[in-house]
Amino acid sequence: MLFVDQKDFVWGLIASMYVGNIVAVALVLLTVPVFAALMRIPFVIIAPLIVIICVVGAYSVSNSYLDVVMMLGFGVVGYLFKKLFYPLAPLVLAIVIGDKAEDAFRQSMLMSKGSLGIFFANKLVTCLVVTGIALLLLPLVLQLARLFGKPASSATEATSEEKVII
Amino acid sequence: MDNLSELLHGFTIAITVPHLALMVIGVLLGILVGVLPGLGAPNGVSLLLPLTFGMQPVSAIILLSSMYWGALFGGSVTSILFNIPGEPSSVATTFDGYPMARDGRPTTALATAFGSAAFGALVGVILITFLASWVAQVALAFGPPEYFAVYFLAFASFVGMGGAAPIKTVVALAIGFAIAAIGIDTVSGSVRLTMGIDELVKGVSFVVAVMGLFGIGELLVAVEEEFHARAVSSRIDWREVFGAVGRLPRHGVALLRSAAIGCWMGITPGGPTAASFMSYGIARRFSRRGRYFGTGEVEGIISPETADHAAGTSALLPMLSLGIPGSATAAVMMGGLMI
Repeated sequence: MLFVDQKDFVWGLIASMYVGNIVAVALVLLTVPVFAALMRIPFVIIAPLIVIICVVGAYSVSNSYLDVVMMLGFGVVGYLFKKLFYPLAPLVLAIVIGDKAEDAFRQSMLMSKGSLGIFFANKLVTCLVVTGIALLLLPLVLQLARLFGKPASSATEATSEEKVII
Repeated sequence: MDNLSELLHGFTIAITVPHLALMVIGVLLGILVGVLPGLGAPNGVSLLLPLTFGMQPVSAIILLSSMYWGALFGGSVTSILFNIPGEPSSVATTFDGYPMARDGRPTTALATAFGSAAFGALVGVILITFLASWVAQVALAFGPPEYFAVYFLAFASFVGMGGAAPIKTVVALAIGFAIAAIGIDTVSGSVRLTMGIDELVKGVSFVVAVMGLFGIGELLVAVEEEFHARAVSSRIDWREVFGAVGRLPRHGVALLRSAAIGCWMGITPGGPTAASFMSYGIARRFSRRGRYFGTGEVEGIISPETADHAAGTSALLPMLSLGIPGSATAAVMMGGLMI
């Protein structure tokens, strides 16, 4: 336990986080105009630069050419998603924490020998899971309510939501 | 207040000329690392580790933590300007940051992002100061079922609160899960979905996916729309920088809500990424201008940035009190402490 063993060190660090935060904001706000100026560069120059940055970045992840090819493949996927009004955010979220969620799920299943009851075993986890399920069902309930409530207004609302997709 | 006197003592250690100089260097290096996509904070911090071998432990951790700050801030820059998130946690910043920058307001977008990020970080640090021991116990109570519940909540909040059609959100999630499943299965150790390609065993890197999806994808759309007239005449004005920061208190509710989400997700190691996504989704549902999210809304930048940094900061708490790192960067930093 660092908190007990090395008080000087821990509190020095915490204090430096306060000071460091202020220093960082000050410095970063000073650089805003520099970064903003980048936007003035015409698109014809910026576009190839972005491609270069992406290719170098993808290659440097694990020095693999396959990563570059995959990156370009993902570019096409991203384009299709945009054109078809599919949201990119859930896709990325699933890529980032999907395997962690799966690990957690399977470890819990091992712990409980396959019973889903483990997700309702204590207050904290029950609360989280119930909120999650409620959110999952929310669109369905809203849609049913709309269907039975006022059928006329549902069409216009759907199109306005279509536009704000990310 | 025992903690408070300890903190004041800590300030006497932190505010010395060499340490302040270290902070400036660390922050600048961090910004540099954060701006270059693909490098990222964990890599940057590990690059700096050798530099700290000869230093006092306190000086070393000050350099590393200010670099962590710099990288967190720098990661937002490319997300906003070029739609290329340098870190998983700054993906959500692109949703409104990039449209706003494209709209000729890059200064406002950047200043808003930095201001709210700083607020989130500050809340995180204050939390560490006062609630360290209590929070440590909560974090200890987290086992696999709790982790899964938190992740499940993050996914569900997108279906329930996202702006897109729920079915499309579910489809996007499903494709993402399939991509996440590629590689070695960490529970059983078997190899999945690699189609016989050895290089896929390690899985699909987040950086590769995101640079393609956002950077290249956006480029393709831009090329198709209009090739020439996309240079943005951005006004660069100091007044705008401070004006944007000064306008932040008007969005107090969004700031506080996002900071709370961020802290919660940081302590329960759900991490900054889940925090920023969740905060964005919730802000979209509860903001009065929620339907304009995705077109360059100020609150669409504030929410993910605040949550991201609140989570990033409070992720250091489990590390300090329990020795469990809440994020990859925190893990590398902890490695540095042990050497």
